[in-house]
Amino acid sequence: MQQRLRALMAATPSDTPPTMPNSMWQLVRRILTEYMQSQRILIEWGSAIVVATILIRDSTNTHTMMATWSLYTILVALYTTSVLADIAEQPFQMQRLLAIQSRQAYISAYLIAANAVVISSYIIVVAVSFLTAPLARPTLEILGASLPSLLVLSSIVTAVMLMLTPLVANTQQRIVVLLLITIPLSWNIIGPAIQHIIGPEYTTIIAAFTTIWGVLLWPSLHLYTITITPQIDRMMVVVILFHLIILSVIIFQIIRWFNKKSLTIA
Amino acid sequence: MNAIAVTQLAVPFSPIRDVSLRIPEHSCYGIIGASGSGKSVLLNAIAGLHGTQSPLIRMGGQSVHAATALIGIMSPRIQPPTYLTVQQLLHTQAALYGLTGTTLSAHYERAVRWCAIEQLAHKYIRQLSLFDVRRVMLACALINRPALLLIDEPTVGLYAHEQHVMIDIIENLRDREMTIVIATRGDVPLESLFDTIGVLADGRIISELDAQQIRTLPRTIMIRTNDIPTAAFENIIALDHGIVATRRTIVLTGSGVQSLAQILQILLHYNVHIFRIEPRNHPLNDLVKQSEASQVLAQIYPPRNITSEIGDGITPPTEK
Repeated sequence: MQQRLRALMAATPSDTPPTMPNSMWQLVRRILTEYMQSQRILIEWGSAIVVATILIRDSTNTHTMMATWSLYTILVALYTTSVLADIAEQPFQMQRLLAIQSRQAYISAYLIAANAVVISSYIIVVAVSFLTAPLARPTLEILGASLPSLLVLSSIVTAVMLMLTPLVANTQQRIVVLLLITIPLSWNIIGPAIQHIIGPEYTTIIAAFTTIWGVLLWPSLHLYTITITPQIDRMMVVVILFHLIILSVIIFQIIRWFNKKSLTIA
Repeated sequence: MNAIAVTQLAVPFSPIRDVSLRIPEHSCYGIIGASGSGKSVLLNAIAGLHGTQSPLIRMGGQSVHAATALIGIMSPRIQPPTYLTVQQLLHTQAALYGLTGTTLSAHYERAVRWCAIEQLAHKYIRQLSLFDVRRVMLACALINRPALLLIDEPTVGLYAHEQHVMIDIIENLRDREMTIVIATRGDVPLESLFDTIGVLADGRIISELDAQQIRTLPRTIMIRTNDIPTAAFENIIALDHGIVATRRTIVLTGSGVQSLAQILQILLHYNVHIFRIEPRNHPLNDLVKQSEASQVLAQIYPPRNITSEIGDGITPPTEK
């Protein structure tokens, strides 16, 4: 064995200097290829067909159809991101992190891959819905107008979900993010309960928080609304721009946390 | 020139508290320590996976964080995707390093030859044995011809003949101008590979043996026994940091080898049966085979008052 190995080594090509990593796009390609090879993609694509053939079948209401598409996209974004985050944390993938050399590129690649899977699922659910519910199909203008807001919505859901995975954030950070999401969403329950405890003299403070949460929540709810009933106007542009800024902040924070994260391979 | 310089490394939530070491270029460094001593954590840190700790680790003068593409790492914990063939897996990894075309093919061929896995190229990972997977993962770590190769427990879980092949493969890598760091519990005769051995205990490198010392000092000794009573076990592992013990195996490395006499006395005191001592050519083995170990050892190491030597609290033996 020893002699054989030495002989083989003597026959190997001349040593070239180690090369530097290519780019995150190479990794995105690999993630998506392996996502399909492992047949995990069947969950997303299969569910798209199920939604289109069972929930939307013979629908005559365009708004219902588009609301189902948007809701389905959000759910798929949550699921796909959690699966990809789990894959990204496996020891084998850490070898790839070493190869690509940039944590920023690594986490961005998974974010992009998750969005790619979500978009592919959206395309399938729309395409199959066009066949199963021809009467409810929206015009191409309406569909086109809803796309930008849907892409932003999907990206935000993906980014927030990634932020909530152990791959990126530690337990304390995840609790803070969850609180930032759940407190505004459940303020109509929490607010009166707090007021009941602390007494009526703090009504102004509770009202102030209600206003703040309302201001913060309104754009997000409006974004969801315009994916269903798109109207190309100044308000739509403002809402999308606002969310792009939020998305940038979330991605910045994801990269910041991931850069400090202790990972494990050995 | 140092390939790796680690300065006062402490990794939160791990046994690593204060590790400083220098690993010369193109040398083979062995990290030996007990299970849970932080060997794997140290390898992770050297690979730059502990983000905030990276500035404490320099590779060729720069932070390891900026040079991870020059590092290859192999660990038994790495499980490659089972739905890929060996060739697909290695090509994928090579492509991530930016290798294409003939360069990719050349690197692939070399890694495959170095790890002796040519015949596995078109097999799926799920069809491979543990030994095959281990070699494939080594090839994966070598695909970019790394300047630094980190190997964690390369022989753990392998049969004896497979361990020897793995050691041969790693030994041949030593001639390929790369720095190799191997973490091991010391229960396999790997020390012939090392230029330097660092003994990791209490979260730091407690001693280092250079090549000369490794050659002149007694080699790692492993004692195989029947079940060791708890009291004996605790007394043995308390003797020296270079002693690693399980319920049926005691491994003496580095300074631990000096404790052989005391360990044999403790085993004798507790009537523990010694099956064999490794390396197999160790002179005590013949005596162990020929007669009852206790009689032999009593002749070689006349019984002393063990209690006074290793502290109070030893309970009388209850097992025969």
